[in-house]
Amino acid sequence: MRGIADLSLEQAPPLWTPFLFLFGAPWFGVLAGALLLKVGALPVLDRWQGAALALTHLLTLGVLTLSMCGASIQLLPVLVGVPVPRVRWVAAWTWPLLVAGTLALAWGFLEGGTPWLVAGAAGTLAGLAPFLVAMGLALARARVSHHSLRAMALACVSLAVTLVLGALLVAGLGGYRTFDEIVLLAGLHLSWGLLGWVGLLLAGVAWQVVPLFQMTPEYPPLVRRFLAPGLFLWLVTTLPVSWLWPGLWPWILLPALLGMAWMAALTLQLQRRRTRKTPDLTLDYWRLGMACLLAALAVWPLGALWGGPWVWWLGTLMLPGGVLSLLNGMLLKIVPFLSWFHLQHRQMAHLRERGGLVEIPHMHALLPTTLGRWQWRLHLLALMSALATPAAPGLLARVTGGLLVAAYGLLGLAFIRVWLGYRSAQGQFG
Amino acid sequence: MNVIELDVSALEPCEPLERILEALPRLGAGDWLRVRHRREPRPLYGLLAEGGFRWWTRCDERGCEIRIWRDGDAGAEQAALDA
Repeated sequence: MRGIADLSLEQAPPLWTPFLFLFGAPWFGVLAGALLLKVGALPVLDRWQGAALALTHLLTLGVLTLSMCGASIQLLPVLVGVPVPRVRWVAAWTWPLLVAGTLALAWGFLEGGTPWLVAGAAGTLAGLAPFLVAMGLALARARVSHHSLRAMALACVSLAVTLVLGALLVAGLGGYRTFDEIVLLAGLHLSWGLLGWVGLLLAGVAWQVVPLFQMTPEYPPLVRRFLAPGLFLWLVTTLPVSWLWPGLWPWILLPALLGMAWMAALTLQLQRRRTRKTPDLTLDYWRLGMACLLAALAVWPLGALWGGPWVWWLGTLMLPGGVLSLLNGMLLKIVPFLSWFHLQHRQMAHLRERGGLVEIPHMHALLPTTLGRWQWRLHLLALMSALATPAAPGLLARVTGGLLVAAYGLLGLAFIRVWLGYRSAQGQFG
Repeated sequence: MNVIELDVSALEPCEPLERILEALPRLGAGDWLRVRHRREPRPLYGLLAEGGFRWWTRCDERGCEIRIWRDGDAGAEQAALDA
């Protein structure tokens, strides 16, 4: 039984704090697409090309980390009943530094060289450090303890490790390390970023979001309890083991990848057992994302053995196919929901003060389903084009770039539309 | 003095929240709302407090029952808690 006391949503941050991050993210996708349009086949041919590294960081830091920061600021108070401390200050500090740091890094990889890389790494670190401290404080003060919370905490630690490894890499590119060490550091940086920061955060979010929003059965308790800590512990072991026995790299990652594949397969299985069978765009995105993660695991040994196009396919399946599909699906749900929810708060205050209701738009009016569907089609086309790119790199890399610009441009414009609808509805309250 | 029944347990988010909020203005003096939900609707509570409502929730493995009445309506509160 519960009464008036449970008001965790009252602790939610002001709307502009998550929106600052969420609204900025699609435009980094547009930049990534524009970069592919400009450089063509370069990133496809060699993952060590500056253009490939710039592209990867525009997507991982720009689209992914920016969105994850926004979603975490919003989600944490609801999940743990404690607000992110000094959230306005953290958002106002982290956002510009993360944006500027990502742009500087991308430019450093493309043409700017070491000074821009150092500036980019410093900006990113300085921007994300207070964010991580604030998240850590909120998690430490949490009034509840559950598996999602633990997964989110481990994801934050993984982000810190990823950033440190990235900073070591930037120092290494300045000539302080051997090429073999740089290759190993890059592998560790990528693994902690994708499997640790992104994978663990997705796991924590999935335990909550999939059963709630997709009306599936719950994930099995054993999976919720052990998967995230197990994945994290395995990643921790990769640090000393791969350093002491470099020959084991990258095969030492196999158990962690199998853990992620297990989660993906389980999610697909749960989604087949959902109790309501109506079409749902977020569900389509999640199905695509989980299927791509499974395919990435199948491709991974081939990429590790043979390199070449297999590495491009692996990266495409893992990042735009897997992680960014899941993210797009969530963003298309979160942004209109938050706007609608804040309008409902105004509505309730209006009801209490004046006794009547004002007509406010439904979520689907704020972000029409047709707009979301077009975004989905463009995302799907971009993904298919990216997968086909090794067949005709010169042409298809640019086609993929154009489609990425269109898909993320539409997402960014859809969010602006949501904001305009929100502002217009808010005007009715005077 | 009426009880308004609302079963949102088969609806997808965020329809349950929309249905409950639509039903609130219909609560007259002495009326209360009984909602059946498959989960505890935590986001609802902040909205209820904002709108000047009070609530009582009980959850078990089959789902949750939430009873809602206007703050200060002693008759409705008594009826809701006694039901």
